Amino acid sequence: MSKRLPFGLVWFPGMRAKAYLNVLKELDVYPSVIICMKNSRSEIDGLSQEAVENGYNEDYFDVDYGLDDYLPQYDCSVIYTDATDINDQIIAHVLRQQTEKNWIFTGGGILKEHLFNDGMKFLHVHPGKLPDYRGSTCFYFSLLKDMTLSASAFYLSAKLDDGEVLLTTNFKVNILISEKNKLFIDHVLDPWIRSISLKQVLVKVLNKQPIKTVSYSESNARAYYVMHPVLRSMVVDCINRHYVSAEDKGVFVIK
Amino acid sequence: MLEVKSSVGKHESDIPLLKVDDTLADFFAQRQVVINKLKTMDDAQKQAMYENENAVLPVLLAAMDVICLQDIPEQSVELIFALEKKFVLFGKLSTHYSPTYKPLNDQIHCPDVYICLAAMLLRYFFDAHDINALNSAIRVLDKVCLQIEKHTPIENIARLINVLNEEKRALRELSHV
Repeated sequence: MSKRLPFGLVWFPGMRAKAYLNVLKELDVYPSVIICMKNSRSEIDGLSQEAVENGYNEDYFDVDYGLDDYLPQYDCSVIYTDATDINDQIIAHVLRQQTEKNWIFTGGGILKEHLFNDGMKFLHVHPGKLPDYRGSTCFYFSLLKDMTLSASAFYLSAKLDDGEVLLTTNFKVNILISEKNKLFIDHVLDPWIRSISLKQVLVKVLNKQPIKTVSYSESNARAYYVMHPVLRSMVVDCINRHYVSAEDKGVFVIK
Repeated sequence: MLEVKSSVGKHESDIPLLKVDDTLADFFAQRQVVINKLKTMDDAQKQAMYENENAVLPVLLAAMDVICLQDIPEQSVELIFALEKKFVLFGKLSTHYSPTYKPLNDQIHCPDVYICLAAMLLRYFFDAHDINALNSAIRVLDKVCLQIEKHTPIENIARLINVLNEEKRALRELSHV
């Protein structure tokens, strides 16, 4: 029997949200309420086709699974808004109207301080090991630096990538990137590693297991900035150079 | 020729993943094309860049002369990374800033400021293995190239050529090419 999560979900359409939805379906759980936003960039040209050709749906998550597939199966309140940014006033207004205080964040901007009023907490998964890799395109930087890949689940605070880290998931990468799977890194791998970390948190919550948080603030590590295309191509090169054909191909959680 | 498009003003999701083949060769070729369009500043323009204690260029140049990164004054280090952040957030740098890093003029088309910042960021890559700094340096140099394409004059051509060579060295080192 499906279980109700002690979380609401702020749905910002996109691959991350879909990856998270796949996890909710896998765990057979539903959020207390879903607040829907809008995103004109949510659809990725060619991804569905690439997913079929490369087996993403089997190995990672169903890239086409969305709310239209999920909602008929779960008794969940849904509030639709026209908000395109998490800081749009309508979002704060709708949040204040809910009794739910804990929210799964799926994107839509950098949260401003007013959203943290009234005890609101937002569960976010960052694609990098905190506090070492704060900022943008972090997993590209960690792969380039030492072929490490991690995702950190934490509750957001008003400061960027600061807060209480709930857990960090580490991954091993053994894949080849080419023109045939050029959408994989940004639109499958990034959301997938976040969803795995989210899943680990939700499993603990559902099993009432304690989660030891690690607080940090004013981290000494400089935030990373959006990676330049030339360096991104080097990351791809780095991934490919580290590929070992004799080992299982894919991205795996390091236990 | 594959055109490696600049990252200036682009949203994260708009930045494409490029083919790795020939990427560096094409990138360097594009940088080289810019050298042919260089134009030097007149004396009045040069003087304006260095005027009063809020000018950033003298601070950056002084930092460039320090042999060890650890010996660079803390205030200068703070300025370097403050300018980096300013550039990342706003895509432009002024020639003069207040002590709290507020731009004091609209003189944002001064390539030498960007060149010197890129030079210092590249040093942090080489000496401190700071890939983030390298990333910022490349993005700053993208901006320089755009300015030169628009015939914006620069003060010191040799300095630019040297910094571009350092950028090339950094990318080669990182790529094992």
